[in-house]
Amino acid sequence: MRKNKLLLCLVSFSLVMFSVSSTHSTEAFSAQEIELGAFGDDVIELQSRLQYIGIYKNKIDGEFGYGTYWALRNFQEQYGLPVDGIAGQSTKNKLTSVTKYHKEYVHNQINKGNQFTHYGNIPLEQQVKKGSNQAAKQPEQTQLPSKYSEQDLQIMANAVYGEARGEPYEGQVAVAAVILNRVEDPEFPNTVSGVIFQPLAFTAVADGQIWLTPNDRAKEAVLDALNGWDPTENALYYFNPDTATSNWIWGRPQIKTIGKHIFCD
Amino acid sequence: MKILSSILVVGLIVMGVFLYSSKQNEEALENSLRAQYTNRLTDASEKLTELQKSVQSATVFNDKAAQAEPLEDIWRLSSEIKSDIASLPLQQDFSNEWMNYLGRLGDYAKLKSQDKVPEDKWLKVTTNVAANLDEFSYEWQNASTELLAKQESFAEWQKEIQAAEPNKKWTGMSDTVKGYSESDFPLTASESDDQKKKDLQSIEDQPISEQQVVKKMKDMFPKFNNAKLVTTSSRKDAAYPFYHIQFHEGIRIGYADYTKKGGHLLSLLIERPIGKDRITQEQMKEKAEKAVKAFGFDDVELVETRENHLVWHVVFVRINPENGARIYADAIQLKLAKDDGEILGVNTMEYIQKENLPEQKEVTIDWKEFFTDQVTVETVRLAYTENERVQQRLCYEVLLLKETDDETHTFRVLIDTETKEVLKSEMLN
Repeated sequence: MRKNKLLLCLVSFSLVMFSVSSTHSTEAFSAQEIELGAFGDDVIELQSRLQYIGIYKNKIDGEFGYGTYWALRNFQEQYGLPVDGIAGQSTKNKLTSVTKYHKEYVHNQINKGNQFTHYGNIPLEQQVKKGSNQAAKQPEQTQLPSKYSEQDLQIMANAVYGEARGEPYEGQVAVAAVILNRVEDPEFPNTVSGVIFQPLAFTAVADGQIWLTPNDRAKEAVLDALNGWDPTENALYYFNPDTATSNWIWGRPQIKTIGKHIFCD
Repeated sequence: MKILSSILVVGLIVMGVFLYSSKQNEEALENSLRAQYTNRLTDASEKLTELQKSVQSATVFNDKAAQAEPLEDIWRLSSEIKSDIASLPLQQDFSNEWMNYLGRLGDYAKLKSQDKVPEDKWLKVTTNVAANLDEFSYEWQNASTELLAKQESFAEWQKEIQAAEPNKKWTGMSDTVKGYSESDFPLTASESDDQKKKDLQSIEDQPISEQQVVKKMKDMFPKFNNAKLVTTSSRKDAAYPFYHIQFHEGIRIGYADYTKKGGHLLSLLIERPIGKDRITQEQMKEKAEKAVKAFGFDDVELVETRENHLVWHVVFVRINPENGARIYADAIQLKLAKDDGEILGVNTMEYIQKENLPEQKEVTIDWKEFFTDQVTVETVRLAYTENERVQQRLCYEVLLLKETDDETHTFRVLIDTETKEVLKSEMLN
């Protein structure tokens, strides 16, 4: 009877230990390898852990850019791992064993829009910059080609939604592409906002529909245009043949019809 | 009855006050806009006079130091007038031509200040520009004064600009400036080449039929073998003819454009809901690489991946087999779903026509002398990029790391292998 009790205790103890250790490993990182170009919670953890030991100095933002890449390579070099700048299983295991990750603290600061760091040798409460608390801002789920900004994406999404929300997806990408074609063309202003707010250029600006809140579809369409898609084949203008009154626009060389819009050169 | 009448009277008074206040607000806004436009218009006129003087001054000096100021003024003023014109509601054709001309003039002055324009050519061009600007400024003063005079009714200005038949003064000026652009700043051979590439006009392959293009599409994307397809042709004015295929299969809706000559895929986009599953970055890269090979684009290398909310955007560029250099102008973009890696977009518009690559020397550069001690050179490889004259140049593509106590920054610098000129420098995220 006593033997049985002892055995039961041992089994229970082992089970508890196993569950503690397995909880520890599942809390750290997901199973996937992460590298340059990745985005999300795994990258936040990677940056936080690298910063914990002072290797990563930039902002913890969940974006695996070059700052994270060089820091990861340094870590791999320091700990005798293969230096490839990819956070594979062995790198993640090593990181987990030599660092701590205060997930709740990190995510809280990100959600509050605070400026903060996650160094291991400074108390956490001293690592949030006072007075930096701005409007809550989740990390953006977009990575743009380097020549465009988040502002460009936002204002273009507004314009696309205001101008073409009833159009097929292709038609929405097309409107975004026309804006970008104008930015590149010497005959138009050379910034996204300059093109959109050029007087009389877009109906949505004139009638205020540009200020409607764009939906995710409009944002996706803009993202595709920013990444190079141009269903208009280099158009600079478009118009709705049912409502256009200007003779001038009818005189432009026409390229293609998408939805209700004719796209022209 | 009395109570009802009182309520009606109060209601009418409230409505009257509301309408009056709205009208006042509208007038205040109109006045504010009118003031802004007037300010911009007169500003543009004053700057045009300054620009005239600067162009004249630039033709006076032989001395480089003395020439620097008017050149900088030309560059600055042309940019400022361009900004004024962009913010004014003027006749569209005129605005376009005038902004084009100003942009070219500013760029030319900048090139001259960098000693990239021979003196005799500069003198010839600026003499023409000076004469043209003198003549143009007279027309501009006339037209803008007339426009300002019409402002007793702001609505008149708006009406004139949006009229189906534009004012002849403005269309006349548009033609004049277009003429100046063509005579003063004709497109260089390389700019024409660039335009040709953009227009894909110089494809010499044999035209293919509608049936052939549909077959080609289904071969490339077998998933759409049973899709409902609608194929149309580009309109007659399109710079290069192409087929536009719209398709629909289950939850997928999309389009694909193929050139009529040779049936080259220009672009494809598919819209479908994205599930919650996520493939790994490694799996995604494998799928992307497998796809480009299956499409027959076997001379490219994956150079960039960007994870977004629902999809991955991936960039491939052509590699020059002779020296292994990346040709960034010959790029292919892919879009893959994050849930299963399905190809949701292909864009090959830049890839279809190969860039003309120059024969070029590779001069050795001592990076320790070229860069400051604050940065370390991490990688150096060969790549092609275009210079200000839109010519492809072989470059050293250098990745630099600058580390301080607080931050690290990465720079990507492209340096001409022959002239050591820095053609591009950007800070990477």
